[in-house]
Amino acid sequence: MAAVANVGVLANGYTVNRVLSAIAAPEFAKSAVFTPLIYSEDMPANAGTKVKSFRREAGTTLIEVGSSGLAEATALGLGAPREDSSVDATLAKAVVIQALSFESQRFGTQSKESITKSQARAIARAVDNQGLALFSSVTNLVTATGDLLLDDLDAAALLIRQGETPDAGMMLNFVGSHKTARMLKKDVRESGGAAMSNERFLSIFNGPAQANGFYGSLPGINLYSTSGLATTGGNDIQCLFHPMWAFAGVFDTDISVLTTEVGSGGLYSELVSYFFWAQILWCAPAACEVQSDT
Amino acid sequence: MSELQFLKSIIDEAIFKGLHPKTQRLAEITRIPKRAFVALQIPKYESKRNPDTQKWENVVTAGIMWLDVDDQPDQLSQIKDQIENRYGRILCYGNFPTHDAKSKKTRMKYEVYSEGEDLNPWDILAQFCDMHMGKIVKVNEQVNALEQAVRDANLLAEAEKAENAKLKAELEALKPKGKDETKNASK
Repeated sequence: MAAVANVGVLANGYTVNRVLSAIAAPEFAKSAVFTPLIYSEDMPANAGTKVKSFRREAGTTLIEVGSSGLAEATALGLGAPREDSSVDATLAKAVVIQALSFESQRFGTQSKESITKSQARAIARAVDNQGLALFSSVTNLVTATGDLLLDDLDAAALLIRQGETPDAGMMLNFVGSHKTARMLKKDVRESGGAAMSNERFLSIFNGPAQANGFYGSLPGINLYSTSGLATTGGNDIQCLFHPMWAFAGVFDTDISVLTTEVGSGGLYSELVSYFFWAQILWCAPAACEVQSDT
Repeated sequence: MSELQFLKSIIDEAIFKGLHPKTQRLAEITRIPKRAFVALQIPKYESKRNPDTQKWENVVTAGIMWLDVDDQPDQLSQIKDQIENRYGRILCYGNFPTHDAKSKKTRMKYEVYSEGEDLNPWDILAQFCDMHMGKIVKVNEQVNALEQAVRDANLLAEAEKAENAKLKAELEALKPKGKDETKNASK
């Protein structure tokens, strides 16, 4: 008989020879920022596949008839058929498995509930980070010469508009670094009285960032900050994107939690959290990679 | 991989030579990620400010695309989409979990994703990348290469046969003629 490794025991909690604070400080880790901002669908149960195809309609052009126009009663050839395309999203599972001894559950301070909440946050971070890594796959690119300026964001928005992205009336989302948030505020602040007195520019000064990373908006753009962005050559890889047509995801509606009581194997509870998901770049013209100093 | 290793160090030299100058420059200054990744060169439509005129200009250039496959290895469709529809080109890949990885966590991850005797998703991805990068020769190319090898071997055999015949003829010519004449005379 031997002790089972990696089972949460009493010593992993707080010692009991003192009084504990009313609350415990939460873990200092990033929250999911990107994932809630994209177009998402669920996967039907028992679909017989774990792949969902996100469809893209191609355009149709007129038959060329020359500059003189179409003569009366002219027979025409068939136009080229419309060639639609799609990109597949293959669902994968994120899994966290942990164990908690019976002693720890009976006498300790770590409960099954708090462990499963931790697991859920870990899964959310993994999903979010995988989404952030998609930014480098975008075709459009704006590289700031140093720190990001409002002008750079405008240039990025212009590329998306020039791509004729549908639903132009929707606010674009910008997901960037925490440093970028600071530099944008600095740019607004230093841009002079006109901007400072313009209410449209002032929402990015309206209090602290929210739990979902939102820290304000500029005309046509909602601003979010996060960590975990990929870098290249000293630049953060950030992204401005259309909320509907740039990225897409397939997500389970809930994180599934499984608890197994282990007896002779070691007297502990095994806690399993798993989640099926996939995120993809759907339509590249609807997004613009934005690079600026890390 | 050490912290200071740059992407260029793991890109095949032949592939590196064929890259866009901007991709080459980026590969020289970009560190290898710590997580499992696939790196591709993709065309970029870049809007940038001209430092002389201060005007924004749009240029077609290239960049490096990273795919984080640490927690989500089933992203082959993303890579295929880039290759088939966006002129993407695989540069390299790395940090894929293996059954003999140093980290216990990574080994466990590999085992969790392995389904029976099927290939692990990272193995499938690695195989695809190797194929695209020309490290694995496709079946048709293998057949062609084998057929060419057989043709070469046949040509060599023919040449050797001809050479042997020639040598044999020369040997015959060197043999003393008197003995033969005697033989003929005795008959």
